[in-house]
Amino acid sequence: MSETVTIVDLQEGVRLHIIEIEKFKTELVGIFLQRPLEEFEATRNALLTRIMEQRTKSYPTLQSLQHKLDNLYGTVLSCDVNKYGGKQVLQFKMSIPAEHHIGVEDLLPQAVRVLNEVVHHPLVEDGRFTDKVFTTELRNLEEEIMGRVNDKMAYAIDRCLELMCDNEPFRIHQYGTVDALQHIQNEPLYSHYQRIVKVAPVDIVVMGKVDPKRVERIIRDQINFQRGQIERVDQTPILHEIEEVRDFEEVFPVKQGKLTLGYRTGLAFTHSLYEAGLLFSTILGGGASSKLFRSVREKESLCYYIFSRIEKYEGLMMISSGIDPINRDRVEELINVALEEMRQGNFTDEDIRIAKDALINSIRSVTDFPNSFMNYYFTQRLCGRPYDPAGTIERIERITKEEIIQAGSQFQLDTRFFIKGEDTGNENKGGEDAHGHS
Amino acid sequence: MDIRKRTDDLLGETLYTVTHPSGLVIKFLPKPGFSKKFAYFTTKYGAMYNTFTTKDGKTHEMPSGMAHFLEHKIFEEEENNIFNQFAQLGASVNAYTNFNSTAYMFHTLDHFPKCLGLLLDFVQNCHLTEENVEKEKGIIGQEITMYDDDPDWKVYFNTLKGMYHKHPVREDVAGTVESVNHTTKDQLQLCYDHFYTPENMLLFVVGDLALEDILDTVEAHLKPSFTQKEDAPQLILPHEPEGVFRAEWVENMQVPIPLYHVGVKEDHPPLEPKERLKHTIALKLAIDVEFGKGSSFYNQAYEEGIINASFFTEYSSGKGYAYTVFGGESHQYRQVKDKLVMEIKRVKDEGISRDDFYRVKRKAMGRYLSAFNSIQYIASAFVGYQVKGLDLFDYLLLLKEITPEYAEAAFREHFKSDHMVLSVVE
Repeated sequence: MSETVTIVDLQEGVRLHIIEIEKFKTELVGIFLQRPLEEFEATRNALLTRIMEQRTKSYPTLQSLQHKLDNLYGTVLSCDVNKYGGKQVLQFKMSIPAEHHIGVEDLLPQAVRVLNEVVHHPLVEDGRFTDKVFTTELRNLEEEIMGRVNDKMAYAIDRCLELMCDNEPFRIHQYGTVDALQHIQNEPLYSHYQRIVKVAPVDIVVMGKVDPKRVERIIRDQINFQRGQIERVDQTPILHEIEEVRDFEEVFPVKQGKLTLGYRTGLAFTHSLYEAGLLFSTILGGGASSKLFRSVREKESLCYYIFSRIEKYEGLMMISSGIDPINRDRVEELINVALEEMRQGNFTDEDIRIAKDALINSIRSVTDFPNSFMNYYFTQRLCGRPYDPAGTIERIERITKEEIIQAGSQFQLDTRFFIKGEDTGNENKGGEDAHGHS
Repeated sequence: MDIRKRTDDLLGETLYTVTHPSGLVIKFLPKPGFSKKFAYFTTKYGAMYNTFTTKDGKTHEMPSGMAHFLEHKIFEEEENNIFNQFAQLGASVNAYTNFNSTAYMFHTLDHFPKCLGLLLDFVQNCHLTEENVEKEKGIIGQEITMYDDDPDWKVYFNTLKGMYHKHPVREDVAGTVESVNHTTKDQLQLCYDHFYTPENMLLFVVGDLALEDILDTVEAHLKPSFTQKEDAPQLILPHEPEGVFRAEWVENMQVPIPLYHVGVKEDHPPLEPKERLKHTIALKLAIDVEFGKGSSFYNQAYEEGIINASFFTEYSSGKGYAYTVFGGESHQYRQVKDKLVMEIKRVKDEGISRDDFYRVKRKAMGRYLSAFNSIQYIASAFVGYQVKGLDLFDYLLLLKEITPEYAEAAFREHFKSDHMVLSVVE
């Protein structure tokens, strides 16, 4: 791997990471602010990113900001929130066409100046965000949160996680809730904004074919945080105790049922068996050569998709499938059989090899795309681990079959969540206008 | 073999085009420093090829969803699961079907020649039995049901169904549960035999690789049974009347915020590929000027609260069809439509602003460059262009050529008739 990382502490709680990498056509700049994940604040932070993305002091209309970005050769600005376990992260990113390709010398400093405007100089009137912008973005976020239900595959998993972790911060969606939105007012939101830019730990990551000295100079010139008492955000411990398996169902006007099973793995990402658990899940339900795909789809034709995945920060494994509601029992039975077989050690060295290759290759190729590379880099830092792909690969290589069995044996079913149609007696309306893809 | 090399200076990329004596076209874009390598093996046979005439003069009519059904079955081998064979090499294999093509692709870090050989082998072989055809119907049925429950997909396809009377883009890519159930082994075999032919197919490779190695692998794996196949049959498109089939299509799926698409149909899309690409780029620029995030339309509508960040525009064209879709989520979708109608008329009358045009052109150049960060984009975009007879490397040259006057003319031509569909899922 041919990337070099330079780390500079700029200010109290502000760290600059410069990643030199040759192969991209763009430079990517990201500013990350860490906050604890709490329902009311999560909603506030989500709203903040929406408001801040729209306008700034120097670019007071959507249009003027957009024209500026267009004139920077289609520089893309994106502001959003993400969650990683018990942390919520506000992200302000800019993807800038590389100067050496475009043939313009000061594209990077110009773009960074705009990014700093977005973070430090939102459009403000009388000690609050412009009322019109506040109201519009509040309504837009409300619709965005409500609209999550349209994507049933994603919604089913989010909702299962929410029901399962009802006493943990993990239940909170990164966009927060419609309820919390109703209680947000403009002035307190602005004060909250002023506070978090002072106290949140900040990481600035710059990636591309860059000269680190120049980047450091540009960042120091353009970005200056007013720092207060930094509030470090700790990782939330994961739960493992389960009293009884809980069942939930929701009804929607749909034809396909969505089955989601939530398991507690008991494996935090710092646990020595974490990667073994990841391998267990990959063999069970990661991709088209997995046990579940082969039995539920290929052998019994009961679904189009089925997979399992590990929620890294929450210590959970989720299994998800879209099925005809009448087949629910059979599918659950097949899942249980596959899981039990694996716990008995009924999987081959080849299964292990395939799963290891899949994980290792995703790490080896993580530098192939700027945004995923930056996110990987940042989340490694968030975990308190250095960026060390070779070390991670070595850890995965060393994992034994016994460790995989041991990891999987402590997975416990916690919650079963099912979405079904309103009238299961009439699930085929004749198929007159059905459709599909891939 | 005929080898041509083309370089794009702005991108700093080189593209090799090789024509195999059988007629198969192989394209390769080297990407030094990237870990992943992609290969796409594609046939210019997609969901709209349901009626065609074979060499013997016979016209065949197939149930809708045939190309997609066949895509599923190509993965079937007598022994050895294909997915598994790729996984054993640390690779991942997949496929997709759209209106114009069916593509089989893999990506891998290691063992590229073996993976490429495997891809060529399995696509050149079709193992159909009554039993495995029956078995697939349940899986495809669930796939169709999944899309059927998806409001985004629904609102989009209802727009197409509303715009077109006869053209097969109005048929769903996977067909219907019914058409899938009526599909037979013999029909699948016939389509496979006729459309999976060398001159109808394209191999695209991108990654940190050498051309010679790719060509050696291709040479070693092309089978005579494939290279000697005749040209693919002629696609028969029905006569498409002018105007839309149904101006409004509202469907209830109980979504929290209504989803809307406003589709505008172009009655006579240009046919010659190069002219079509220039027309497409010009039109996209004009649409971005007038309806993009930097436009007055967008900003006013956003301020009024009738659109939000979900608003998008999309232009699409292919054999016998061309349309623009404006879409998003809004309770006031009728107001959005009315405003669009007025704005389209205004632009046709007044033309487009010169300053805005050059700004948007600059943006398009930067976005085109940025897209080359992604090897997956490179592969899918080149293939998508190629199956329509277009070349992605022409993009920048044509972009530079386009004047505001040309873009204006393209806009007026495209929006000439105002044939419009409002599709809503609420």
